[in-house]
Amino acid sequence: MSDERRADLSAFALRLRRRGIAPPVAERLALEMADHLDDLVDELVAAGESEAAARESAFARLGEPEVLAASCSAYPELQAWWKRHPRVAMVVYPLMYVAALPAVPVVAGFAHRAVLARWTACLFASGVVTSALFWLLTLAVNSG
Amino acid sequence: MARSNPPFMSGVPELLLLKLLDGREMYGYELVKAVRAATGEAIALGEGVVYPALHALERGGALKSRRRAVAGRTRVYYTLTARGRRRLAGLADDWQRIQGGVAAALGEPAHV
Repeated sequence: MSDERRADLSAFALRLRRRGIAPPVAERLALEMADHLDDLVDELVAAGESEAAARESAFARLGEPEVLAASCSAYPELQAWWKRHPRVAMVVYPLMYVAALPAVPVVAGFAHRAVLARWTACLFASGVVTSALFWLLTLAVNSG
Repeated sequence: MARSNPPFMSGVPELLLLKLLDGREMYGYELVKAVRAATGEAIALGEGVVYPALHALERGGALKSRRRAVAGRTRVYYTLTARGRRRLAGLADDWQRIQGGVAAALGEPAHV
């Protein structure tokens, strides 16, 4: 799959998801539309059009991506659950975030484990040096 | 050439798609062309209607899909389920009833 086609697919799937379409449905719709476009191009090329002209005609026949996305989002069955039940989502999502809050330091710590390890080593080293200095001070006071 | 008349089209895409998929599995592009051919070009369903309708029917259990690699492309083929067959029978009955009613109304002499 070319990078251009991959980008087109991702852009259309994102457009669908922004309209509340469930992510797996959005991915498959984008893939099917892209295949449809390729079939249209093949048909037009077979009918005698150049590759570029065929692609342009196929895009025109398919219509504006925003219009396509709007017609897809008109089907409630394709919507993500939070779009179908917004009131439930308004309760569930904040609760989920509150429940996940204690895990945030752990996750953040794991994500920045290298920095965290450096800071821990520095703190440990400074603790050792401070203890040694205190020990020397105590020794000096007692012997004096 | 098909003319657009959205208010008349309510329920028609579903009925046509189920009918065309009865006994034969097809993918989206094939279906778009098959609708034109089956209706003598009177009805042309756009891609923005066909694909979401197929997905909605699948979610409702009327269709099932499977992916098949054909000539380097991954096609999604749809087939009718038992529930889809029952839905088709119900929609076809509704359609005949409505069509009969409208035909009778159009055939009646105007009231004075």
